[in-house]
Amino acid sequence: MSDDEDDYLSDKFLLASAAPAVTKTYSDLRKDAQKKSFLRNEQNRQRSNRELEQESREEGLSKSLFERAKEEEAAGIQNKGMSMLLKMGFKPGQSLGNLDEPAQVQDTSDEATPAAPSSSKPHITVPIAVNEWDGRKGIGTKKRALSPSAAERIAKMAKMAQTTTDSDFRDRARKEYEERRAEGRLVSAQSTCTKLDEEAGKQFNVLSLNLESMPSGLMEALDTRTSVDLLLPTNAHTSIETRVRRQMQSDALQAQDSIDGEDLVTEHDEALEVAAVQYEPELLEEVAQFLRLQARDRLELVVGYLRDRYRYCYWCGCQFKSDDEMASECPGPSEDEH
Amino acid sequence: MAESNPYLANMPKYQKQAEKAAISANEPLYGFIPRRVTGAQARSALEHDLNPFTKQQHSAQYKRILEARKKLPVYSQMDEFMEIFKNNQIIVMVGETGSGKTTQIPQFVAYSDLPHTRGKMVACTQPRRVAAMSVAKRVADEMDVQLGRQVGYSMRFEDMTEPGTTFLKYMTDGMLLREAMNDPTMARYSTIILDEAHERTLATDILMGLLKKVAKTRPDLKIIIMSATLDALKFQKYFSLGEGSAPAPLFKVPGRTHPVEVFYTQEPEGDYVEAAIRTVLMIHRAEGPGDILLFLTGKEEIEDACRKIKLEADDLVNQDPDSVGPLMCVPLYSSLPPAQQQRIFDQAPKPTMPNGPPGRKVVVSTNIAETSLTIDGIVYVVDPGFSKQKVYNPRIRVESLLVSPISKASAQQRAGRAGRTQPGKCFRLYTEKDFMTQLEEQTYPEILRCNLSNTVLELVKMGITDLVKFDYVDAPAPETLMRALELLNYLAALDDDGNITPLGSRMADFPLDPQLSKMLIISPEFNCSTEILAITSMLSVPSVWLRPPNARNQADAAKALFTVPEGDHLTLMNVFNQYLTNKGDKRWAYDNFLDMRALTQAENIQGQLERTMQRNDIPLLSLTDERKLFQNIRQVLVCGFFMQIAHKEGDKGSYMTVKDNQVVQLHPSSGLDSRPEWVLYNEFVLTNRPYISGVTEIRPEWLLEFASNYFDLKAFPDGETKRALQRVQNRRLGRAEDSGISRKNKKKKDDGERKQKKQRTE
Repeated sequence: MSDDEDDYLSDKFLLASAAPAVTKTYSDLRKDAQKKSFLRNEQNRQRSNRELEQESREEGLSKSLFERAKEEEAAGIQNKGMSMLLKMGFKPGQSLGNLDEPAQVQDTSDEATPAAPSSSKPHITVPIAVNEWDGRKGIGTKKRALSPSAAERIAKMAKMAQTTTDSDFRDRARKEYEERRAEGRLVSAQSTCTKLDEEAGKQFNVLSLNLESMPSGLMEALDTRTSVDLLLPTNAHTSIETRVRRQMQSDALQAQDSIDGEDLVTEHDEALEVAAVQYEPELLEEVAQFLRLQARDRLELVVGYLRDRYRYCYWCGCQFKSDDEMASECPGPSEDEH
Repeated sequence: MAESNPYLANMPKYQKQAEKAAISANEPLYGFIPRRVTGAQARSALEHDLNPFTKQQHSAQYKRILEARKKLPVYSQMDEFMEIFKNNQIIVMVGETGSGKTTQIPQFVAYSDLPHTRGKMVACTQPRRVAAMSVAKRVADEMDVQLGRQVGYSMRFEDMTEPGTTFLKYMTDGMLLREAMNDPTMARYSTIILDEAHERTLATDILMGLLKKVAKTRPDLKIIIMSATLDALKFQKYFSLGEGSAPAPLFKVPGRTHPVEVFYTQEPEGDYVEAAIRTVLMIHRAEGPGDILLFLTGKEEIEDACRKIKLEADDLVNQDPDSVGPLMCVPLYSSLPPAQQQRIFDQAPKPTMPNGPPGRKVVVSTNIAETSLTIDGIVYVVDPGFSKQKVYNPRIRVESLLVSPISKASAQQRAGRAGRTQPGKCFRLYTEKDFMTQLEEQTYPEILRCNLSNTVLELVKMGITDLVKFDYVDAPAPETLMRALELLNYLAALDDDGNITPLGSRMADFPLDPQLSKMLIISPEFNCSTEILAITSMLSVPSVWLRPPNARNQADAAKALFTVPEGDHLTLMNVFNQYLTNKGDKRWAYDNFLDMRALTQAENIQGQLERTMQRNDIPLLSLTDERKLFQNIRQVLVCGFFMQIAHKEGDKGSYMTVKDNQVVQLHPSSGLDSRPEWVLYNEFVLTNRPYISGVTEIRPEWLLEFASNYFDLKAFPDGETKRALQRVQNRRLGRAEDSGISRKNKKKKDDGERKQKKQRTE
């Protein structure tokens, strides 16, 4: 643990003193409290069975068996299937089948979406994805299911959240202290991130979000996201007959009778749609997962992002010109190494 | 033959001809040289008074059918076919639906190949059992022979052939694959025809790989691949033999279809079911006469849509009886009882009044109406673009059954259904742009979508151990093969190098999943092979439980009476045993909401498996003590299904699958309501939620005892499951030590007593 002096020099301390003391109105305070409680709820919410199912599935599907076998091997466990496959002459990354034939061009960058089998395309290297279609939406109404990279990121965050709950029994005081410290650092790391993103022309980044400064509409979209899932299916079922009837009537070009209570429903639907349209469900899912994390984990993600994307080491406080330079001059990715 | 006889060489020519005519009057195939038969020769034999294969007079029915056959498109190309068959070893044949290829081509082959003269057979494979059976029946009629004699069929658990007599055999593709296991060169066949190859079933795909290999060592074996247009080129390329040789020749037959006009929507649809209902009603109101075929994804959706269409249509008729006719709505899905499936062939309703608007029939179907069933009279097709697809994922070992967009090929197939009897229309409920950009070209072949453990065992049994480099038409994902090898290795069917073990060889003898065959083989050790046989038979048929929508509660109550609290497997066994004891009672199954068909099928399978067991010297044993018996049965289940275990975790009653850590729920159909800590499951399926079904309670000690390799705690991923197992392990070791100590003490005591006795006797 570093000395206490750290606290006085921390960004949090400096920022707090630098910021002009603005008296907040009651409604501001209420909003703040709402936001805080939203965050707390997201973090502490007993996750429902459905979410647990989904998280475990996404995590399971995102990792190939070869990766799993490799990890097991590191732990000294030999994987039977893997060793048999290797004995048969399989090389990881390859597909099965007669590879001597022409037109066997391997495109590993696109490995998550196996090529449709046809005479000119190579054999698949990864299993066919398991995609859930969204209710009864027609073809063309939405993008294809969660992109694999987003699924991977979400699964990683879910895992992080899981580990913190597992270690609840650990020294609470120390954790809270670290949490406070991380929060302060997160602010400055995120501002660096925003700055670099803007320079790179990137408008929106989940990683630079925090509850104090949420873009307009996102909060509402997040709120509806949780309710949308619960609301829509029943809604769609109950009103389908009436909607069909109404459509029939309009198809028949008859004068439209007043339909009691119907307009209310559609207005509500439209409001939901407006909120949801701005942010894709995939993104919202990611945002929610991110905000649910502990400050330390969020900090880790931001610092990692800065490092990978901009060659910027948060702990050194500078951007490197090349990977080599970073490798030679920066002691490492974690705080302890600095 | 007459020409080659030197004693007849000097005979005057007219005399020779007269003799020839005399012989051919009694011998329709006179002068036919196998594989050199011309179309003209074959036609003369067909017109002959005598049946060349039975030597009986042709019946009147034969002549009537022959006239109908002559009208088939493929019949007019007989000469061309005979020529291409004569000159090539492998032929790819393309024929659209209605060309008559499935019934005619095998007969052409029989007339040219003359397999009966050499004790060989012609095989024609079908992906579906029903098709194999019905086509064989039809062809037997066409050839004027008895089904099961010259023409027969063969499939898993059912053989309708006569060895030595049958020379034209329709069979399921899976059956031919199983035969190849014991006859890798397929020596008994002179020609093999793979029909419906474009459907790309797992067995057809593997057979193509095998036949490509066999063709090189058996130049006398002829192979015909029959398919719909789309895949022909792919097959032609695949079957180009040798270095840089040309693709296999193509034989093409036009179909008998009418043009179909295709319509797209302007905008994507928000709710495809609603849009489909709307479109059906629009057609009914505005389009000319002709029946409608609507494709939806599953039973619930179909029943729901049928109800709504009926309601709306009745409304329309009431509003405007002068221009809207009556509408009949018929559901169609595979789990529908056959009597109700027949309703799709009913005539459309008559007009409600003389000279009134005509009635119309709407069939709402899953994609079984896409290929397997043909409904005449369909003029309009409504295609929302979805189907339920089964996809196996090896990473979490789940069988997902999810709604997903269809492929372009599938969409074309659906559209084609509108043009069977007259020019038709197809309404696609998506935009043309989305058709071009969002849909895959082809549906994924089954080999990419399914679990391969059974197939891998069959292939290894055939001696094909190089599964990595095997020449697949489309190679499966490496991870799927890895899972199959892992399972077979843990079941001890394959050794660590992938070679088959004696146990594996016996397992392959059963037409079952390896887990089940393993159970059957080891069950005598637990004195419960009779019961395991019953369970296995019941697991090999579709669900026996009926749950009619109007009598759900009674059905559930009836089911509860059969339920055995320890698990669904025991419940199935209970049902089977009670079925056998109540066989005299015709109403028994009906009264108990059980599917008679499935039960009869299970009984049939039980008989077949029993014969296989006898052949393998596996005795049928049982126990009288029911408690002990039930425990032993569950132990045998563990020996087969130890890789399908779930452990209860958390406080919400959900389960986590062992090693893959998937959070799952017990399927609502399971009778296991006590939620025990450890369960074994038959299936892990992902529908609207992840469910495990066919669930039985087990004790964790059994896992450590009967599957110590898989449950080796030193090599077990950390987590709640491992901790729970560790506790069990410690307890076991503790108890073992305890009993060890007490035994030792007892022994000391005994020794002491003996010593005392000794002393006394002394």
